[in-house]
Amino acid sequence: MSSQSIRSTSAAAPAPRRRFHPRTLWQVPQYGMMIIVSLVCLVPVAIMLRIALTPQVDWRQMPIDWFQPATWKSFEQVLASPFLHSLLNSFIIALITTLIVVVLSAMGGHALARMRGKNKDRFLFVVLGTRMGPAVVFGLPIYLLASSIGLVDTYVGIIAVYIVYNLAFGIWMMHGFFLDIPGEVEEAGLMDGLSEWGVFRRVSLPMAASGVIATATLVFILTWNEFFYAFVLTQRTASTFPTTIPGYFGAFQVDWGPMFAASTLGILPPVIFGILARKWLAKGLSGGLVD
Amino acid sequence: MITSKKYTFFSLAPSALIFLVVLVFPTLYIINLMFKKESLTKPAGNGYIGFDNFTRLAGDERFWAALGQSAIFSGVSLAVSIPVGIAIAMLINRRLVGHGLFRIILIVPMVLAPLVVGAIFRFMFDSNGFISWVLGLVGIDAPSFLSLPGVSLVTVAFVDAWQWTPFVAIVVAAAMETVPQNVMEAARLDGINAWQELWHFVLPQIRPLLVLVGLIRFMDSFREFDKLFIMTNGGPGTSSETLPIYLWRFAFQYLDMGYAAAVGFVVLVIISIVCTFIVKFFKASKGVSE
Repeated sequence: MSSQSIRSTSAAAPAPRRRFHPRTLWQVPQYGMMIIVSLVCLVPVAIMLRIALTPQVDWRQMPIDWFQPATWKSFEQVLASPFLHSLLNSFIIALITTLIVVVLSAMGGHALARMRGKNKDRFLFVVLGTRMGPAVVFGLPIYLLASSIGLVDTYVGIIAVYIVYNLAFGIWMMHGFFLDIPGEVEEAGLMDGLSEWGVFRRVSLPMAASGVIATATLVFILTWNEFFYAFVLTQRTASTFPTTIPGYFGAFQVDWGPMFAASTLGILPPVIFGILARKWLAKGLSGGLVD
Repeated sequence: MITSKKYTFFSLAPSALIFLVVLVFPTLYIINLMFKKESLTKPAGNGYIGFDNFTRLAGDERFWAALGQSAIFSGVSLAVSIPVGIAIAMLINRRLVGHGLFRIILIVPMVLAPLVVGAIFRFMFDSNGFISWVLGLVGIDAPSFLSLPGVSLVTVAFVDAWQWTPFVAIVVAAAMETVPQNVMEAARLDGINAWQELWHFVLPQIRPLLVLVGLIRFMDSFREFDKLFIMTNGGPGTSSETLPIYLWRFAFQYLDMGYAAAVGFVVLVIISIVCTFIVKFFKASKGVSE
């Protein structure tokens, strides 16, 4: 399980591709499985889209009429609501969080990757704790703290929480990427008269560029999707996209169309970024433990 | 390159400071709060009460039920996602035509907001919803999944497994690629079947990683809040109330802060134990391969 041996990518260490084989017939059930698994992954998303484009009278219609002409009413309703404000908040909050987390975790991750001894383990252990603890446990004291210093429903408050929430992922991930850079390259930089800080900026960081992009993408996705802290710590001014979703669930009925229209708009950035950064997603989601 | 103390200090200081302020402070806050009665709805008698919150917790059947329901939730989620994930990993590594697209499709569930996943499946699991319709096609009279005690908890656990099975699949597939091919080629020539190959060669080779993935999946399902919140809200009754939902109710609905702090502390202790285990295990598995 060294960082060299296991890679969550298809690019690294590709197994020999099997072309035509006499056992082709045996592949039919395998293709069948592949199609079934794909459908299980995609049908829920397709249903969300279809209902978002369906008039209200047909929301509960089963079977779903996939070929019914689309109506954009739900989307129009959502776009006319404060939802766009929350979507914009999500962008601002996720972007600022990502920038700060990437800078901090690149610095911290590099130092940790070059560190030896007990303190390193202790630090990584504490970092891991923030990855593993349920948001609800920290939600209570953070809420009380935030309300006592007037940070509820502010960008500063929620961004501060998200920095902590994501810093663990960031540090573990960057730590892993910097471990992959051979120490000799950095020593050569020192010989050439660069300071340690200079080596970090001009040698190590450019070499870990893919790691930086991977970390940034993951932090962005996790921040974007986070619900609990946003639910507790924001009301209107700083509300993010997930907090708008429960609003469509009334006591007696659910506003399915607009809720799914909002969801559709809200999942686009993570899906796009996730697909672009798929090579590193597993490493990030495991908090850097699996690489 | 071994960096100087000064460099290490200044690079780590900002992160360390943040962890200190926003991690140590809340922990101390919880520790202080858990010895107090701090009810915002019934403020009479608020103040330090020693270990009363813990005796109350120990005698609270609802807490033990929540602990048990957490165990069931994580258990079902793992029992589904690990074996199915391994099966899908094998499928990925067959490298059939289109496996690239297949990998992209597998990404989709993982990047969806858990809350949105919950909302979609609430729609699908509704009585006379999509799932009931599908089961009706094969002649099964579906129960109303989300309004039956016991069933709703397991239903949400399945949804959790739906979201994270691809994660297991992708990580395990990557690990499987590292299993030495020559041994397996030889074994195949000796005529072992795919099942024997998996059981005797592949799984033992990737066992450390499997345990790690299992632990990560355990932690994530243990802290799951969003899907339960939107799909069942802990109901019907308290039948799908896991520890995070239980904790949220006492803290943010009943505003019983002292008691909630005690619950939070207990949850933290449980998490720390598992965390220690993960780190120990991580080091041990690293030591083997390096």
